[in-house]
This record gives sequence, C-alpha cells and structure tokens, in this order.
Amino acid sequence: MIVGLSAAALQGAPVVTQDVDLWFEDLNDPGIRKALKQVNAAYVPPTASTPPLFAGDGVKLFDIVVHMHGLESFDEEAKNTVSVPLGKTHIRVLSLDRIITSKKATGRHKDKLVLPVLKDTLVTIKEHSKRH
Amino acid sequence: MKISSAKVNKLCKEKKLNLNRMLADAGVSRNAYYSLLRKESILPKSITAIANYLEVSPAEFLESEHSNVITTKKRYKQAEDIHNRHKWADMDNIVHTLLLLEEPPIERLRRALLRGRQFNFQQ
Repeated sequence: MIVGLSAAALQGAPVVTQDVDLWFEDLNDPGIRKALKQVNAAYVPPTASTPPLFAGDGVKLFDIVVHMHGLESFDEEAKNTVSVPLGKTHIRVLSLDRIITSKKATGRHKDKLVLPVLKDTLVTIKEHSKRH
Repeated sequence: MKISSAKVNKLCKEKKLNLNRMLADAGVSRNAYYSLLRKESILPKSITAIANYLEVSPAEFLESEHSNVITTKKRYKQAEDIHNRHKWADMDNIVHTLLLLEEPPIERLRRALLRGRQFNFQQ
C-alpha cells in the first residue's frame, strides 16, 4: 500500500513530497521482483547499516517502508485503506486519518509541520463527500 | 427576459440534481425562485429600457460570467461554508484541497512530487 505524504496527496492533500513510500506485506513477494524487473530495477536487501532499498532509475521515486509509527500491523492497517484509481488499475492507499495518526506518532519536526494541512484536508474531504 | 422553469428543470436533470437541492446549494430560497418564475421580466427596468431603445434583445449587450469564474466562485463559496463549520481549519488549505479534488489522483501525486523535488526546503 502507498503510505505517507504521497498517499495523502493522492487523496487530495495540498502537500509536497520527495518520494512515494511503499509499505509491503511481504518483501519476499515474487510480484515485487517481477515488477522491478519490468523497469530494469533491483531489490537491495537490508544489511546491518542499510534498510531495504530499491535500485535503478525506474524506482528512484520509491522508498520501502518497513514500519509505520503509531500504527498497527500491515494486516490491520490494510483494513484502513482506500482504493484509488491510477491509470488502468486501482491501488490501496492508507486512509488520511491513519496517516495523521502515524505523523503524530513520529514526533519528527517535519511531520508536526504538515499535520495542520492534513487535518484541514481530512475535514474538507469529509464535507466535500457529503455534497457529492 | 424571464426564467424558463422547463430549462431549469432540464439542466437539473442533466446534472442529476434535485431542484430543491440545487436551490439550497445555490443559496436561493424556494419563495424567491417561484417569485422570479412569476415575473414577466427578471431584468431591471433600466436594462429593458436600453434594449427597447436600441431595438435589440438584452442578450445582445449582456455578458455572462465565464464558466471558469463561476466554478471558482462556487469553489470559494464551498470553502467558506466548510470554514464556517470548522473555524480552526485554514481557508487556503481548504481551497487547495477542493482544487486538487477536481483533479484525478495521479495528477495530485504528480503535483506533490514536482513541487517536492523542485524545492528542497532542507537546503
């Protein structure tokens, strides 16, 4: 599933981000290798000093997330996703309220700064959906 | 010039809107709407007088607002309504969210990434 600010942006949040954070149920899923191969990229397993990474021009924008602060397990959070149309497919995206919960939990300065925008977006989306 | 209820009903139907809902969203009371329907002319007398003098229809010299202007005003009104119900929310954030909701998700993401990569606030 897509998490972080890219997930928020997909849902309508006026935010900026450097990358697309991907949270996988299982990094050993053969589908990941298959997709990477299609864009001439590779998976770099974690070491003592580096997290799991993607390597290659086709995946420069993507980061692997292995843990989400303040959230439940992947399986639990999979219930808190929304389906977003992207091209010919649909992709699971972490819901905005869970992104807010996660950003609150990290306690990082940059996450605290974006919280008001995410909260404003959440209320706007809720009000907007009442009318449409 | 008068209002054609048939045309209004047709437009509502095309936009899948109920008349009452449309009036409520537009901020027009039912009384005001039905009062307008009964009028032979909804234009000010001065407009009618000019049109009569020039022997043309008022439509010849009246300009309607550009559709972009109408959409922008409508969006701003919706943002104000949301802000009135949630005073703590920032008006700019509401307006920008409404703008982004008009775009497909991929375009929202593209914009977020473009801006994020153009400006590195860490530097």
